[in-house]
Amino acid sequence: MGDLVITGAGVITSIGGGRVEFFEALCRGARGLGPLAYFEPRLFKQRAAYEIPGEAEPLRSSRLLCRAARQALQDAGVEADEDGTVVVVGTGLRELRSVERWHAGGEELRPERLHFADALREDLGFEGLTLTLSNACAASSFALGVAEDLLELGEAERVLVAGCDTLTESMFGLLDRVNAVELAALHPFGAPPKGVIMGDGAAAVLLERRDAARARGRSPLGVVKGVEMSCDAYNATAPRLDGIVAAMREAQRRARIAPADVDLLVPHGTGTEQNDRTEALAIGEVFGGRTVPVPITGLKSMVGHTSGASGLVGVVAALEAMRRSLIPPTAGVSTLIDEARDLDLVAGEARAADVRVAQVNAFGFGGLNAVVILERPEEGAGA
Amino acid sequence: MPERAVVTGLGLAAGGIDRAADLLDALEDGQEPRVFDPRGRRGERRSRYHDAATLMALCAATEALDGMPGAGDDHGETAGVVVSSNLGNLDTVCRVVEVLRRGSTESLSPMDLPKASSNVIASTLAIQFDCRGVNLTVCNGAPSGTDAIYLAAVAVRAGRARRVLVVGVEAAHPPARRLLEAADGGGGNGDNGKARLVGGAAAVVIEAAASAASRGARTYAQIDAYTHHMGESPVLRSIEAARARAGERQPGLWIVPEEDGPAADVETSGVPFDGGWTPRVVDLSVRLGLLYGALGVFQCVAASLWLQSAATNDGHGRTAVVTSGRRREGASSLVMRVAGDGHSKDPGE
Repeated sequence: MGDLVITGAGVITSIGGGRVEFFEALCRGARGLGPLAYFEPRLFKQRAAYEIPGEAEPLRSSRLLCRAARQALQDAGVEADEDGTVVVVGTGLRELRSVERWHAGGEELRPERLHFADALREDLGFEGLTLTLSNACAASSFALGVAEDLLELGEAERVLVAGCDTLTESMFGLLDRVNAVELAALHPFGAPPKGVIMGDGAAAVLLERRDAARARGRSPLGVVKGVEMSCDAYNATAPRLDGIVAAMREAQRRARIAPADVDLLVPHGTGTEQNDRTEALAIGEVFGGRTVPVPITGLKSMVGHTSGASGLVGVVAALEAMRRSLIPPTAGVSTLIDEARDLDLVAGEARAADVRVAQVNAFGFGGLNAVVILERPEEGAGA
Repeated sequence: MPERAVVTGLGLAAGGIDRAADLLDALEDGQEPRVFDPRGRRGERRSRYHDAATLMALCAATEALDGMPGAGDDHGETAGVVVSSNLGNLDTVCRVVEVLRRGSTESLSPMDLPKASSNVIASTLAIQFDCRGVNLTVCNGAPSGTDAIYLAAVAVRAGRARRVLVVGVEAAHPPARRLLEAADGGGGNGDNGKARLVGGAAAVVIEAAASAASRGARTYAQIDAYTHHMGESPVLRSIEAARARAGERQPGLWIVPEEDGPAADVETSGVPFDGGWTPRVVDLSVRLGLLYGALGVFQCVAASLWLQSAATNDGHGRTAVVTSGRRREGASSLVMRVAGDGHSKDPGE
């Protein structure tokens, strides 16, 4: 089985959509934080979030998904109704926002709207297999891992892998309950650690075999070298150091690379004390043998925590970083937590760097770990 | 050569049925769907802090994993979990919003935080049974349970997992019932002959054939093929594709979608039993009520038991098809065979 390549990508976040525009906004250090657009602010301590305002409700997640999917298909030059396409959607919160509006606001809701096959059929005319995976904040990276297996087994010709999420009142409220104060922003690995702020977002990539892309005359945006999916099997919300270390090592083993080969690490980096400390320690353990530390950029200070979409949002950013040889900064972070003080967090301004191999981490409630290894295509590989 | 995926464990949490092995007999007992009491089986102390769906999932999984290498087993990293549930945590989500809108976030309990995420069932199972491998929560509507079995078989065949615990579960809490009943045009209350949601969980262990053989495990059946259709007449197209994939030995058993379910797929009555195809047709909803996202896993339990009892037969008794789905949600079918029988067609086509 040959390599799997990404030939199209789409993304929508609070700082903008389209992979090129999104990446340019990241490199400017743009932040999508704004006053709460969809909830009654007086119910919460936290009155700002990384939302995408001005969208119609209900079914906002479904619409974001369809827009990102459309971008990715167009970018890849693939029609939605082409035979052999499977869609795998990773989502933390599905259409639970529409459930809340149905339950508390009396809006109509049909069961088929909770997941995404019907929306993709209606919007894109897609009538193939759609799989909706609800894998918390690692969901879209798990979707990429499932897509890898489906292609390697010959179960699909190509897989449209997507992630989407919009804030739910229940999750935003529960996080508000555990955050001590209102946060000015989300600061991955920033000191003092404060907490997470949710964001809306969707991302999609078209994954296919390299020979299929070549036959279509498409130049890949990137190569998926390997995706590791695991579970700590330890705690319902807290991460576990050895689980994260094992996931990163296993991903690198699957991709047949060494820690020294990684030129860019996009961490999960949620800004919460427990997550950031654990991830920083795990990065130190896995990458500690390098003579030069691995460059790291935390995207969540710009786009917030886009829940199940966050892994794939990171993948799209990493693809562009490889293509442009440019690493966006972690906006707003100056002082790092102790555990992260040896990390090379790109801050202030975007940094020019030759990025051949990138790693994207995504972790979720229940100890879910997904680690993606990407590689820049060789020059002319798609021609 | 990819691994073959076989069924090596079965478990149930369903009202009035004590063990998974009793399922086929229960289908003949003429009883109405009954509520399952997970606290009665697990005990009050071991039931604290979990939501209703997670409790039932734990009950079914405990039975399915009985006799398997357990927690602390050094192969935990190759043990996966796949859960199918569409309505599982809607009770938490709806309750949290109610409480929040009556006061502020200070009225909320941080204990609800993991339960507001739909993967709470799968992560709880992983913690309970030390499954450190791939962990998926499939929320894919009516075909979701069948899709979950498929994804478990994919993980095994791809070498991603040695064995995968699959659980399908729906709880009959008020938001779940209200959502399904609204979809059913206000029916589904049992008064009009339509099936109702009483809740339940089913569990299946999908394992690599080589792994099952090496530990001398009992093997109920093998997962042979999977088909899926969306768009017009998905159930009809799915069963036709499954029959084509079954090859010469036409299935002797067809377990059908929830015909009385919300937005009933009337097309099921139009499936042609042509070419002399006369399978035994089984509708689980008559005895178990609506199972929605759990249905495919219940069907896999029933088909596994039937194939195990038919293992000494020749011909049609050695293949079964299960189908779950609805209009607008698509339909998925599995072709299952007596373990060890050759594939009639390459499942990777």
